[in-house]
Amino acid sequence: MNAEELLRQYAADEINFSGANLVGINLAGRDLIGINLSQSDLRNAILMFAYLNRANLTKASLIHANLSGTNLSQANLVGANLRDADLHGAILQGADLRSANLTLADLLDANLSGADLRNTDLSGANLTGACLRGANLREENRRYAANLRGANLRKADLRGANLTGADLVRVDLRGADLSEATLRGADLTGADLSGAILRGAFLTEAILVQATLRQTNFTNAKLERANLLEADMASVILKRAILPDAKLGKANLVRADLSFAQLSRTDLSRANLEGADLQDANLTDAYLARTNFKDANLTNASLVRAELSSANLTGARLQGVMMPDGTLWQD
Amino acid sequence: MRSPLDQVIQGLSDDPNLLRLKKLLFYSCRQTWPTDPNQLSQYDLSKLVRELWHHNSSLEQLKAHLYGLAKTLSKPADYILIADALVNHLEPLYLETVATQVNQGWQAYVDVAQQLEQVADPQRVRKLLYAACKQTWENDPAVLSQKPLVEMVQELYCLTSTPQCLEAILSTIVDTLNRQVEYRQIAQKIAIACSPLYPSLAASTQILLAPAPTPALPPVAPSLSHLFDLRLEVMKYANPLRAKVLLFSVLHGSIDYTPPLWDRLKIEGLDDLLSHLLRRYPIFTDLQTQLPSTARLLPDRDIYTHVSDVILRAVKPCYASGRAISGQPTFGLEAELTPAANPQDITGIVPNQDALLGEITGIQASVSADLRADVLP
Repeated sequence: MNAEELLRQYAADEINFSGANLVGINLAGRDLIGINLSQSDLRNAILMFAYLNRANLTKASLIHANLSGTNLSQANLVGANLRDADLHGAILQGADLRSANLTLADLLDANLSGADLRNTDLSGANLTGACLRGANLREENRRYAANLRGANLRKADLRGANLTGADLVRVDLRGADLSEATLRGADLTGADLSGAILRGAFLTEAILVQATLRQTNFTNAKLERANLLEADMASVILKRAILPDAKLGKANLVRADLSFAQLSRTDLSRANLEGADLQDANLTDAYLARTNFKDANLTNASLVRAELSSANLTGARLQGVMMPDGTLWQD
Repeated sequence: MRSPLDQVIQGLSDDPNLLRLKKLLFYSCRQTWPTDPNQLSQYDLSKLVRELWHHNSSLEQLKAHLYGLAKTLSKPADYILIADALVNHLEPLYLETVATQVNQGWQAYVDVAQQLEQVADPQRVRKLLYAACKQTWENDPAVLSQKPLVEMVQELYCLTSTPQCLEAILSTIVDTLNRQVEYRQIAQKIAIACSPLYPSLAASTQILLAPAPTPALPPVAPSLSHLFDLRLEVMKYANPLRAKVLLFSVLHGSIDYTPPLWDRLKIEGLDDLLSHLLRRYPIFTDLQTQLPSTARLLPDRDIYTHVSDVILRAVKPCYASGRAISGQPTFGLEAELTPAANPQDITGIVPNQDALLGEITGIQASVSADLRADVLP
């Protein structure tokens, strides 16, 4: 079917084009609100700036389609194949993209706020500057989880997004805003979150092994039992963050702000906290084997029952510190 | 006594070539050629002069800018003479002693620069300022002394929205250096000297309410969070790609609705374009004129007029007393510190350590250092 025929039928109130062969069709800028294109073949189609609001595109093939600036708000794209599609600046607000294939798709500056992205494959996709506010990427079970491996989420807006259990291995999240986002159990191994904002984010049991977290802002974030082994966290802000039982072994925490942080039972073995601010931090029962606190500020911190025999406290400020035996530090 | 700026305006107003002078002024500030005489008459001469002055920090820069523009026009010979006349008119503004008298905002930078001149090792101050502004390390004294210290201070201030942001940037540079102890002291001195430039929260509220000085401190890019809010506000009510088309057309002064535009728009993010817009248009009324008039020149003019309304509504809170301001109280370190990959060649640095500088308002800076905990007892 060609564009002319489709538009003629659509104008005559026909909206069902399910299963149609529309390879390479040019419908740029057309008003096709509510059209049913489920299971249609739209490979290489040109749909730039088209209005496909509330369209039914379930299981449609949109491989390599030009959907830049296309309005797909509240569209049904369940199981659609959008591999390598151009969705630059597209509107996907509230769209249903469950189980869709978006590998290598370009979603630069796209609006995906409130979109359902459960079990979506976004591996290698470009989501730079995309808005994913309140989007759902939650893992339902191991076989039904969003895949963002190798995706670019630089400066993406993920405030309040649900990324529970999401696969974010080696994802580029530099400068992204993940405030109040839920990342429980998410795998962020080797991810780069430099300069990202995670104020009040939920990262319980998240995996951040060897992640780059330089100057990342985790103020008031919850990181209970999170695994941060060998993470690069220079100048990280963990002010008032909650980290009981977290693993921070060999982490680089040079000049980190850990003031008022909850670090009870935290593993800080071989971590480098040189010049860090740990004022009023709670390090009760913390594991501090060969931890470097050189020139750190530990004023009023609690080190009750912490193991300090091999820690380096050279030049550290210890005024008001509650020592392992429960006594106050004496000069 | 009339200020030098008033004298410059008077001189221009009395010039028999005023119309052509104003056309060139307009073109240099707005990157579009004024074809409509009514449009040109709406623009205040002193506003255009201030803008041109603000964007060209030295007489040499002004000359290069104006002569470069004149050459691109259909009557280059005529306009090179006009450019010459314009340079002559504006020259008194570039005598620094005069500039400091007329520019109250500038005085703040001068004070900081004077304080930094007194630091025991001014060359190191310059090196660190240079690295913070240019994201590259420079040891050549000739290069370092090319720019007056006061301009380096101004540049650094424009790149940092909060004192925390400034300190973080300086600190990340120092981390990469060999003489960290010495440079950390220098960084502290710079941070202390620059602190009066950043008003406290209470003071900034007063500043917003007070009329803006003429010309005031330059508008500062909003913090990352604020920029995200701005972007979200645009995305909520307008097509993001159309917003980019309109912003790009306004900023680049050209309408090119052809396939290369779509590729070009992939290089700049919507947030970057919004940030550039605030910098380019420090006065809201100018933006109010320019955005809709550009929208009318684009295909689908009704759609772009709507996009223009959305952008104006979104950015309006960024302006106080009609001028772009730093926006909301900022949020500490989250202020625009997104590093990108590009190792810097920084002399005197421990091998295999790359510099992590910040990305400041779209300027790509560099990479991560490996400072892992191998230095334990």
